[in-house]
Amino acid sequence: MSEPRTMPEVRRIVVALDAARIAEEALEAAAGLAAALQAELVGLFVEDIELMRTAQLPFARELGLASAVLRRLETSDMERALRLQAVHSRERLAAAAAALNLQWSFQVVRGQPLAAVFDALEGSDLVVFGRAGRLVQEHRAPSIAARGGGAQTERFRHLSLRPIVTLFDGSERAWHALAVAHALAATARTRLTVLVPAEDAGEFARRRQEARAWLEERDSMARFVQLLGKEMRVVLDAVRKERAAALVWHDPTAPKDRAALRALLSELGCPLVLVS
Amino acid sequence: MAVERLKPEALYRRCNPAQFDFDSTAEVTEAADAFGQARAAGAVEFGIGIEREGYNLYVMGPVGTGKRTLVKSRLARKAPGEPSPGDWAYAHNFRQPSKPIALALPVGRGAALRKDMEQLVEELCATIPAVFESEEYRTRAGQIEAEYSERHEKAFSELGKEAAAEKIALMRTPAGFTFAPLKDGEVISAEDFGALPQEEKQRLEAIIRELQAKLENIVRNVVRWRREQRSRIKELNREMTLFAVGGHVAELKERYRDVEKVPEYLDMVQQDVIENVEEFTKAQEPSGPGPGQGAEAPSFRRYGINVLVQCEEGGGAPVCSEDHPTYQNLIGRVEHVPQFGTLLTDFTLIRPGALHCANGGYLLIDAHKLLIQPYAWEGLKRALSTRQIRIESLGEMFGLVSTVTLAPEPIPLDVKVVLFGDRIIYYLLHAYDPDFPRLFKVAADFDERLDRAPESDRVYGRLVAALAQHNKLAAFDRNAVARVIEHSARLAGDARKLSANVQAVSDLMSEADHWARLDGRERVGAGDVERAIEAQRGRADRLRERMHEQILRGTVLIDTEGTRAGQINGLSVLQLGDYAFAEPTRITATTRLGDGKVIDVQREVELGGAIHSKGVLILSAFLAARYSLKRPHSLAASLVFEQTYGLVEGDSASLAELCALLSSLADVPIRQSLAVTGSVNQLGEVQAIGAANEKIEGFFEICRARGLNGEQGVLIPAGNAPDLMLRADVREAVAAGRFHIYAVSHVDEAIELLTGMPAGAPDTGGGFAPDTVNGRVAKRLRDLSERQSKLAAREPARARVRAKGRT
Repeated sequence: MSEPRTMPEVRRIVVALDAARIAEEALEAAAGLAAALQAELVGLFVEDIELMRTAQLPFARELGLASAVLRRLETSDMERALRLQAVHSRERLAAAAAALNLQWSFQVVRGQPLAAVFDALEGSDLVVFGRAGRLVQEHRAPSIAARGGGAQTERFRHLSLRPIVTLFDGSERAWHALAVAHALAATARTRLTVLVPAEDAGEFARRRQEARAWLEERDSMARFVQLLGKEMRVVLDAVRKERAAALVWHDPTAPKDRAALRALLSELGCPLVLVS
Repeated sequence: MAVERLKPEALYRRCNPAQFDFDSTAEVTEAADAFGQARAAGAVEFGIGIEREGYNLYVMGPVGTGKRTLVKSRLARKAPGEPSPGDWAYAHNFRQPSKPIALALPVGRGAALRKDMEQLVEELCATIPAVFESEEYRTRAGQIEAEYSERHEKAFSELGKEAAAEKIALMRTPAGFTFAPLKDGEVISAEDFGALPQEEKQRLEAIIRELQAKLENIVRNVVRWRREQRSRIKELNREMTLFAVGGHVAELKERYRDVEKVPEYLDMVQQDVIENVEEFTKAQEPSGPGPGQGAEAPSFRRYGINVLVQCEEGGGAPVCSEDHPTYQNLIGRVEHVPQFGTLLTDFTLIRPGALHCANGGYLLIDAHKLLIQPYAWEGLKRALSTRQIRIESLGEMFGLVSTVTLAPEPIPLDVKVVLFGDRIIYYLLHAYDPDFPRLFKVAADFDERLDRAPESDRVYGRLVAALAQHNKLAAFDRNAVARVIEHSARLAGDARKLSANVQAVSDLMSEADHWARLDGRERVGAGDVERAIEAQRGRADRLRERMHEQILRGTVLIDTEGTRAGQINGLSVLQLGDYAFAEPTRITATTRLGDGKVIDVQREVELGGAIHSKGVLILSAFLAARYSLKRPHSLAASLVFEQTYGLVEGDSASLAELCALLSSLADVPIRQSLAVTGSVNQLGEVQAIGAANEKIEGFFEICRARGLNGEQGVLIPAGNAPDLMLRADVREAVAAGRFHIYAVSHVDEAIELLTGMPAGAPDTGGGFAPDTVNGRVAKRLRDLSERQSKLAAREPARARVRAKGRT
């Protein structure tokens, strides 16, 4: 067993920002973690170079999501739209940091979103993703949600309604992910769901017992769900079934497998907290 | 024709203390009731007893006559035995939020319903979130979500795959979607695209146009799918909410199944909860935001019950008094609260009026206060006519304000209104308001004076005792009670009457109590009452003292001895608030040849009232009819109230004026030691006047100040003799023969007394003996007539001379 004796030190949390609603949830999660772990919050807005490139194409058209109207896509319009998004993202980051009295910074880079975030990962301990650049999937849970109360709940109005989900396989990074998920759930005053990949009931019970004991020491509890495998599709189904507010993910292969990460982000439907 | 002086015992009607069956009022335990107001009491009994439309009461009479006391005592006996009307409440109208529903509930169940609704909301706040957090809901909602997610996913995924097959990426832009050709897994640059063969470019563009068309179709479908998804989620929510709310509402409906409209209202509540279930799942206080936000606002206020009227079991019919009967205080009002610079309201801000509180019972209102309040009378009449209480904003009605307001459902009205007021208001309303006789069919007329008889003295004694006890005064001994009753007769201005002004009597008793306590006595005696009367008089006496001082100094000329022709002492009364006093006024008359006209100087200078002028015309007619039947009435006379600078009204000086005229005509001097009051008719008969007591006392005080000589006195109409309730000092002077009061019935009696010369009775031919006043008057008038005839005969000759001179 590789249970951590102390919370892994987290000094810098990067959150990938854009104007989408899901990015608000990512910002909430990142800010909550920064507050819980007393880390610096770094906002990273990536001007998607692929969008810029698309806008330069002579036939480029944009179909409005709300209006379903097809219109000409101009480079200048795209640049202005991205700058505006960056301004809005910075404002939201500043507001979230001020509310929790966080140290923060904001960067705008141009490039491929995932690549840019991974570049920024150097020197960061956690990265929080909203969605992938080519994500076209967006679905929301029903508006009905549990009642809460207090300023903390209001501050984490997205996170507090649904559980924080993490994947726990007993590895050292899984323990780190559990600790991060626990800190986020405690800060947002929401529930914690632990997905445990296990081939059989015995293995599931053992890992559950380990994690439960660790949580009980911290006066916490969690819902445990057995996963029959660690494949992304299995994890994705479980996360969506739990209607997770955020997924704390520790897959060591993810940073290296951008295509897999992109696929995960495109279908996850909630922020992803990547524990490095 | 000797006129007898009134004896001292005729000047005052004593109340015999021995007739009381108590030594002091402390012994009286029997409750006093209004007495001597049998007619009014009967009308009140009838009015409050009859249960017919329009039989409201108007109780009229002077202030302090116990109108309210009697009505309240009758209602206190009747109302508790009548059924309690029940509770009234307003509730939100979920179909028409601006028209709150009026709920009639049995006694005590208004508050119960309010509490039940509060509990219902509390329970729903706990139950509904629990239902929506249940595994069942999560699963079913997840299934719906998953179904549509899959549908979206599949649509976009298939399109994405189709695009990817052509090496084209489907990308999200800040405002929508776009397609871009790929090269080596990345979006192709403009340069690379430019370098492609023309055919390839055209092919890619064609593919992208085709994909865009498909994307457009998907986006349109997505909108429709989302609508479908919301609809299904809503249906699921309805199902789950019905499960959560249905049981509670069914329980309440069972509890209130016997109460009209409440089950229907609860159905509407259930429907509203289902339609607005999100509000129960949000983190908010049950009270919600401010009022006036209607059904759209996330507020639980709309599930509340505004109980307007709460009755107690066995409490009987309500009896309410409205001391400030404004329109709103009578009809009720809808209050507003400011919110973000605008005025908002809802049904919880409906406030009841007096009509709500008195509904099913009795409402007591002062008529004068009601009539001076804008639109209050109209509002009351409308409510009584329609038998409904319809709360309407005055500002809205007259377009003075335009803001969000309510039109609450009218409440049926069953009330008996009792108006208290003056007679003049009753008569004016009766004459000028056609609704009034229809709505106020019963008039209870309280008299200001009550008949005085031995039995009524005893009953009045019990009233005095009751007042002493009610006002927590020291006990009054029987002599004090008798003195109070005697003063009451004086207040009535008639020894045969008692004043119905209970308030004035009560005030006198309180002041007597004060003096007794000041002297350290525990029982109030007659001396204390006397002292209180004197103190009351003294407090209001400033002006009387100043005027009497002017007379005594000689500034105002009044003789109280000697004789003088054509000059007489009249008596005037000044009423200042509730205090009246009298002073003598010199009246002079001059006579000469003329055309039969008596000039009333007061009238000529517009300082004489109509009644005074009438008196002068009457005495003119008397003179002409009595002395100038057979010849022209060739008299010119002037009558003056000397040294008066204000309006003279009333005819109580007409006897004095006639005597002054007769004295002037007969050239017979009048005794200035006497003063005269009384009016005369055309036959010379003396008629009763008011304030005889004050007039006698007014002249007495001047005479006493100058020294009573045994000759002085006052002539009053014989009709006023039974009224007298004179002060003790006057009575004592009369008893000692130093002052005299004469009761006269005819002007001949008065002139004989004033001049000391026989008046003279007419003979069969209508003539009078020459050595009488009348004989001398007749002779003077005859002389004047003859002189007038001679002058008339000379006039044609003079006219002819004047005409001749001109030619």
